[in-house]
Amino acid sequence: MATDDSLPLLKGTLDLLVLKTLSWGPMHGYGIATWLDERSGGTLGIDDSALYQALQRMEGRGWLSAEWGTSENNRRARYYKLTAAGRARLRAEADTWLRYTTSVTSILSLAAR
Amino acid sequence: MTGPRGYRRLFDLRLGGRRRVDAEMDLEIETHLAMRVADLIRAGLAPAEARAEALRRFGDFDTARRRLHTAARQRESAMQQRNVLGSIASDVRFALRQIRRAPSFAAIAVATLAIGLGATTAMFTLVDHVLLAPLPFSEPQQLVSLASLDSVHHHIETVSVADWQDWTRAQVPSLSGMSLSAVPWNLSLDSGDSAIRVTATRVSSNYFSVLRPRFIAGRGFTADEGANGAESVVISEQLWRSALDADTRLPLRLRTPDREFDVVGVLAAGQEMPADVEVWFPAALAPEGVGLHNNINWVAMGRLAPRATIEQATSQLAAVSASIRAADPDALYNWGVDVRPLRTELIGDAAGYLRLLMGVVCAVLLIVCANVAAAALGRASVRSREMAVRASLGASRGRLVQQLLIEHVLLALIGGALGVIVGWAGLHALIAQWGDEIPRVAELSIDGPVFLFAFVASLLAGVVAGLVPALRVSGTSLRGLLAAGGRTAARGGRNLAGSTLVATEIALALLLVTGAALLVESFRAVLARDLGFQTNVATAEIGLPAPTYGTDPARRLLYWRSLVDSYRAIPGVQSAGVTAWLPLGPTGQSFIEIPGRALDHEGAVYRPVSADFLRTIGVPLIVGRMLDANDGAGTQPVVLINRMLARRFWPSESPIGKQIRATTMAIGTHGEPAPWMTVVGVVGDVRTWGLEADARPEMYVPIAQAPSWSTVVMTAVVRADARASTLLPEMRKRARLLEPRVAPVMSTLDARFHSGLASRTMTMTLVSGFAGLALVLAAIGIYGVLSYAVTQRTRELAVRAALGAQRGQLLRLVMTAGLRVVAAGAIVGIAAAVALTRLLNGMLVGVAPTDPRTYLLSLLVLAAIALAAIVIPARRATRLDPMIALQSE
Repeated sequence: MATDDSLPLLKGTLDLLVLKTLSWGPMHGYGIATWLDERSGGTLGIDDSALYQALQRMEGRGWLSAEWGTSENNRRARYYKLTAAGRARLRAEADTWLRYTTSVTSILSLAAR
Repeated sequence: MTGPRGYRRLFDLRLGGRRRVDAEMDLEIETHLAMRVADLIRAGLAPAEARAEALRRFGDFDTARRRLHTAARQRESAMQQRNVLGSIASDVRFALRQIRRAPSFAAIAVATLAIGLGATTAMFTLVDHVLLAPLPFSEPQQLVSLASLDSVHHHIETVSVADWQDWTRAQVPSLSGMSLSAVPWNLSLDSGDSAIRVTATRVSSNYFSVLRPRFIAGRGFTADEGANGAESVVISEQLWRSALDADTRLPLRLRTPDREFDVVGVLAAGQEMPADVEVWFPAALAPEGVGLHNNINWVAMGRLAPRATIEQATSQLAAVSASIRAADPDALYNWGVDVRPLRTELIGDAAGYLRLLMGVVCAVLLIVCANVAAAALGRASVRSREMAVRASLGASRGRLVQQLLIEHVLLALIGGALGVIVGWAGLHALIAQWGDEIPRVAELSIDGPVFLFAFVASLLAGVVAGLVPALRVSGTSLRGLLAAGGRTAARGGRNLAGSTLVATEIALALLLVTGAALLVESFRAVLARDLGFQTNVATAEIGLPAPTYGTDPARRLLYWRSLVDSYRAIPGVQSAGVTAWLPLGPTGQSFIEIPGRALDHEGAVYRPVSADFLRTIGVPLIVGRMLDANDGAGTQPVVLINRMLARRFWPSESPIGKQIRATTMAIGTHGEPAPWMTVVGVVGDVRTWGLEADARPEMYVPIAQAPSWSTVVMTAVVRADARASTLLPEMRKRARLLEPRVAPVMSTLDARFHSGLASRTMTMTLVSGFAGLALVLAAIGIYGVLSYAVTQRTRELAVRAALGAQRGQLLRLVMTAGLRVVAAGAIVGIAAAVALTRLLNGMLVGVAPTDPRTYLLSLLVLAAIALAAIVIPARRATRLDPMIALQSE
């Protein structure tokens, strides 16, 4: 749940998080939102509309595919799924992100001494 | 709530793509909100609060919703594009497999497309560079040519120095500058140990400031260099590289056998004007006397002032011309000034035949497309089962059309790539044969626009060739096809489409054959004309060097007499002579005065000749006597006239002994009036401007009695039993033996004669070649479609044969079907020929554009070839064994 002390989302991070979320299996938009909230303990301020924007964008790029299905509560919901291109993207992005944060973290740790 | 409405929208098939996408987005948002609200209520919030909180998380809900709609639409169009691209990629792969499966069809299609596209590309290259590209100078649209007009408004390309000076003095506001250049001549240069021949011209000192070409080094001439005839020259980049090793340290020295010059400027390649000139000298252009308005030896060019028009320049110069005529009533060529865009003037007649040839190659390309389409039709019905299966597996009609189009576009693109090579080779062959006939030929290259043209033409050809079979597929009842096992497709439809294609080919081929036949007929008519003189004559144009001969007319005459004597002594020579102006080239003309009559403004050709000149070129004497060695400077002035001139002035009496005066041809430079001359003989007419033009009235005067300026540059003519060209080396040697400083320009009348016919020969040859190609292609088309029809009707023919039809009846059945198509095409073709051959009118001689004999002949040629193409499949139909044919299906 987004609160006042939630962290501002870095550019490009949302895509990565969504791709990672979907790597567990197909999910609808609300499912992705709650999954991310729970895993981050509500520290990531993900705007609902930003999430759907990201979903549309990534579907347009062919990283995700979507189809209509029925939810556990019997609602019509649009289920998103990673495509092969999306999976490749996730691997590449995650790799970059990890290398990037490792270097930044190590520099910041140095400065703290 | 938008929920239920969203559902309705989602499943409403009538909704368009954009509205459907919006509705889906709304539904998705609604689902999200509902789930969130349910969770919040479960967490303990009141329903109203829960709803407010769920909306709050979207930020400003309306804005968010609008943004999401936009995002969804963008996603949708991106996905559609990817779909199309993906399907094209898979169609291309499929098409390549098809090509591998039917390589002979593909090879023939690609080969014919390569020929059609190659011819079109080559012709486009010419049209683009010659007709469409602007001249390579700055503000090229301001450049104009300035030509003389005579009393009957006849365009004469050259002007006099006096004209130019009067125009310049008048300072017409519509022209920012006017310049002169001489007709180029050949010159010997010392280059290290050896001498090289270059083409040179003399120009007014402002020439380069009017033309504004690009200099690689140095500059144009200054006004001083013009005034005192300084020894400065401008040279071409090519000469600079070959003779001066591209040395940039100007001024460089350039040596001719008797003088040395300073190179002050080097013109960049492609900037030569007139084309092919390598050395430009500044000319000292001083007025030399009265009556010189008629001494028209210079080519004039002008640059329009900014925003001035050609019409303004024409009317302002016309006023100047009027004042020139007022001051000099004898002025022949000052009845106005013909101002034209320089580009038009440089292109000349080429515009006409290039457009014609472009039209012809486009027709050939259309025939090629029709041929490929007809062949594809046959294949499409063979493949109808495949199509039906694909359709039943869910391929939309659009997809099938797209696939067929892509197959043909692919073939056409391969054909186009080969076509560029074919076109390049064809263009080079064309230039090798007729390069002189094509203006601006040096600028030709296969470049960006040409590649773009070839690409677009290939695309179009592919679409045209693929469209008919594609439409055929989309028009076929697929279920019917499947039910019939893809065996017997709907008969009427395909045959109609195939027949239409073949009829189109026949019509186009007949049009081209008729056009070619008319051109061949005209060519024969032109060749059948009597030129009036022999052309197996060797010629040597010789300019006597000014230092020795310039002021000594007697010495010039002595040289010419010695030269003729020397040539006559060459073994095997029958006759030799000299003249100021040869037939088949530019010539002097004069107004004529007869005692007791008004000045004749039509004028006549005026030719100073030596005694044996007419005998040498074979012009017959009709009455009186020829000129002889006794007609000299001191004797009574005499003249020979041709039959045309005799008939004009003395239609019913003998002209011998009559008096005549060439008023334009004043003797000497001090304005003595032209002398009265006595007619001593009448000779045959000659077509002095070649077979394309009519003969002109002419007079021939002894060189000793002609204006002395006409004897500085003369042309010697020699006739022998041998071929004229074999005499040339000996003639050059003897001319230089008498005067080592001359550089004779050797040629033959034959060469001039053929170059005069070259553009006609080229047009006729190319149009005939393409017409022949069109015939062959059309024959292949008829053969293909008929063979296919016979194969298709095998069952029907077999049944007929089994029921007792005779061979002759079957033959007639098939041939009637073929002939009907040919007849339909022929009718359209004749109608098209009647409508379009009128465009040839300027090139037709001795034959009307609707000449029935030519039409009949073309029709017969076409019918013969079509018949051959029909008979082969028809005979095959009659050889069918009914049993085998019936069992085969």
